[in-house]
Amino acid sequence: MSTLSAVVGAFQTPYSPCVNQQSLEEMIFAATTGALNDAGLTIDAIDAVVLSVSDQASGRIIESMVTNGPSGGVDRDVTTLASSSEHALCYANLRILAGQSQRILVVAWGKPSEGVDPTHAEILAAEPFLLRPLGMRAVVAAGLQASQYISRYPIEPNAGTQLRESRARASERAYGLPEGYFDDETSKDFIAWPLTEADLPRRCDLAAAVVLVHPDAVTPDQTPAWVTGIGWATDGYEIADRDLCELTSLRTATATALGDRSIEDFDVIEMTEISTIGSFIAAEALGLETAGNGSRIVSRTAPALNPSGGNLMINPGNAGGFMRMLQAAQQIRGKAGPVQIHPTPGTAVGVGSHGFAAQGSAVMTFSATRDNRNEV
Amino acid sequence: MSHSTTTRIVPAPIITEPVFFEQTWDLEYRHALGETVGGFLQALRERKLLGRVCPSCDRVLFPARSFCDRCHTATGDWAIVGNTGVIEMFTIVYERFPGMLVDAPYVLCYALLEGADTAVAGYLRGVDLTDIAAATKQIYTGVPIRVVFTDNPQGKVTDFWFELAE
Amino acid sequence: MMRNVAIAGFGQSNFVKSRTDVTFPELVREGATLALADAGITSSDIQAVVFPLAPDALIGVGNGERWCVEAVGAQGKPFMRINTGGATGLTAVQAAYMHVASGLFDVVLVAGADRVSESKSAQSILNKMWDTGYERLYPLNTITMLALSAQRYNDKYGATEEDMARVTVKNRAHASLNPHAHLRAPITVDDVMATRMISWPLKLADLCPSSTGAASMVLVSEEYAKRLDRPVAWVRGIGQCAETIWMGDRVGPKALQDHGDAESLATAIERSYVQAGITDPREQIDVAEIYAPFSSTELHVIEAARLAPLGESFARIAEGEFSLGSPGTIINPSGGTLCTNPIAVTGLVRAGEVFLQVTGCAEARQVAGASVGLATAIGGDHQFYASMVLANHLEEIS
Repeated sequence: MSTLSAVVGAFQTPYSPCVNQQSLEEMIFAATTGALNDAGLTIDAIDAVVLSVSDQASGRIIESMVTNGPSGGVDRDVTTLASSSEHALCYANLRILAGQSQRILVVAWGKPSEGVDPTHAEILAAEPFLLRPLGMRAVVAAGLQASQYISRYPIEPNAGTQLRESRARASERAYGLPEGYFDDETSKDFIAWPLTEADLPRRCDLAAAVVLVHPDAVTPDQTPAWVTGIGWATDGYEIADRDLCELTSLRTATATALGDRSIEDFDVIEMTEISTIGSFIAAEALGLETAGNGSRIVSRTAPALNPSGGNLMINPGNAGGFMRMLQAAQQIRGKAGPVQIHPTPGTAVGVGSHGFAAQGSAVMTFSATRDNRNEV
Repeated sequence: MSHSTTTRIVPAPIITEPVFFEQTWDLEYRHALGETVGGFLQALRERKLLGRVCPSCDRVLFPARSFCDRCHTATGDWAIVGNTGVIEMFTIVYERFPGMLVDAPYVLCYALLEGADTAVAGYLRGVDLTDIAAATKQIYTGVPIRVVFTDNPQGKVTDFWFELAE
Repeated sequence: MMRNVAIAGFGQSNFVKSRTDVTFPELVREGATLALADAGITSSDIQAVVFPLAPDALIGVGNGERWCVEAVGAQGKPFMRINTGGATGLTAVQAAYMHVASGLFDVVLVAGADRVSESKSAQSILNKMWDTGYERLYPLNTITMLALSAQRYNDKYGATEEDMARVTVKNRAHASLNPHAHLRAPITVDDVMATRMISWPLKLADLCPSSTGAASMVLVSEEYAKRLDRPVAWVRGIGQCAETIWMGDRVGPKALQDHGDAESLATAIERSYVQAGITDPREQIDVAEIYAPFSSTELHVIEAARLAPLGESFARIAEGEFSLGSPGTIINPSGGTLCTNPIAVTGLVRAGEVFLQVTGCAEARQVAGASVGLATAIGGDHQFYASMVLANHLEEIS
């Protein structure tokens, strides 16, 4: 794949477990304004807006209606992706490749604090006849995946704890929080055996936006992260028909995005982690580790994995996958702030996953140079 | 899936009537409104109508909003809006929609108030609706109205409604 | 337009009030099976899937598209879902167009369904489209919002309830020729006027039904189309536009568009016209499936498509224009959204009906010699607009 597009602007709202002072619309306005400023563009330069929505997570029917205005969508071509926020970025790339858009604002958000019981909202994503009566939701599916994995492979007893520790410290640095902020007392009870609260993502509120442009539309004063590959795929819905430790769709998406490149050739990987054990499984599906050895990632130094801290501490609901891609791009652009890797990485991968036990995934690769024929 | 030799095939169960699963989506939400909407609703308690000015297009957006979606710009000054205006559009609702908490028939309209550049939704009260033809001679685009407040404003948009100006 | 993309197959179920014989995924599969058969391919030929679904609450399963992956044979394939309210079906077709035009895919399936009447509280659900601070407290829903628009249009241009009724008469006559349509019984102006008032000036017969059914479509690249032995419809132009959610901003001296007109739709349509090279729609568009869920809506969407000047559509309808059998552009020969409205796929059906027309497969509702057609869709409170021009050839449209 030759260069598809470039990220020239990005912004995310500051960390907060619960934003009470601002409406969702205001958070989105802040994110889009920030991304445009970062790109050195005004809204008039944008010719299409792509939104990522989730009605039941936010309690807004046809969520795009109230979120379109703050996203700069008035008088513009607006498409709304509702299957995942990472799909919004995939779709934006398709528009650019199709020659239909030059500069696109892609927007994602999650405000789980507004749902009185966001877990209840998740249960409604379960088909009603067989799974809903069983209370199927994200953490239960993650628990099923984790139990399948540990029944097959032994893992170091402390691997999950080490992973969490690493993510917690990175998240604190990334978001300017005091060290130890995420070490508050979490219950040791199993939420969905074998996973406890400490193994699972913590919700927070966040809005984010990215300016994605045609490669020829990048200007000298902008700082691009060139998009060099994309791939996405979704597994079937029936959990029993999937091997939850295989993550076939993630393998397919990775192979499509990477082409003949190897995952080991990348400097940075930002990937969705649906649980600590889920992270080991994802690492295997990406090709970083062989089957059963995913927990070795806790001692890896290269590629850098989730230098932002990933989504275990910072899980903004629907926006999670989008954030992985945004943060991968920011590393390339040298704009990852306190968790910026030095020297600035030349290549990065963003991996977003969605659905029960990562039913679907999208993978996007980034490069610091436009011409990637001679390097990764 | 292929049948193994041990699979035992049986006749299909006969159902005589369709089968259903009933469920109510009973999700609760607590939507943060932010300072601007909060400020507007607070002012309603004092029977004040407030808009906000967009510095780009100069419109007074009413009810108050923190940003203008036409210009994608933050609004600035607060502006007072008058309690007279005209109806821009209206409908008379006769149907009782399930889950809607109002007794039909009623008039739902948008009124452009003095000092505002955008019209606001509200009920028009005090018009006899039993005869549609007569009612739609009294209510029309451009008819002057005044804002009426409830005795005990609670800080909700339904603290006020419209009545035809004499 | 860079890479040429064609619609190579379309399938739709017979739309009805409700289907008690299938689950939602089974219903979706029904449409997908029909479209694949129409294209002469199987699900293993499909390289990616776009799923229209809007909104989740109407089918009662959050992210219900994930539940339908197997039903459309998409396991392990690229799969994404669009939700733009009523415009969803056509935006999904545009998204599938993007997949193929990007050069990354040659064969893409769009498949979905709706079962609006399965929810007993559709309008209460749809009330939650509006802003939480100011407008949720009012009984705003799709009917009242379009009643406001109708009142304003009638006031502005002097249209009457009888003028609106004539749209219902025309579309029902068309629907009587369409075996897939939901409401097919012919109707007179007097019949329409006698139905109960819902939200003045809209009466029951001015409104679309809540429909249940499935629809699906296959889009392919030019090289792939050449290998299929069947006529195809080429996508010649696409466009979208979105308006402010605030209906109160669409009135008064500082409004950019009027809630009585459909100017944002006109912008979306114009974008598709420009791509297609359409400069004189009345001459160049043979058939138009223009999304209009209510009779009153059709009046201003005809004008947005420049098929009649502003304020003149109803006079022309009264003269018999736009009806099957009359000369000039035929509007909604399928009966349109007014007679059949399965929300998530209504926009897809608009494109599918134009596909049938320009490939000569529209049976009793065929517009003779149709070669170029327009499909449009509307979502939200008249907020999201999509438009597509299709033709059965790739030459310049004259």
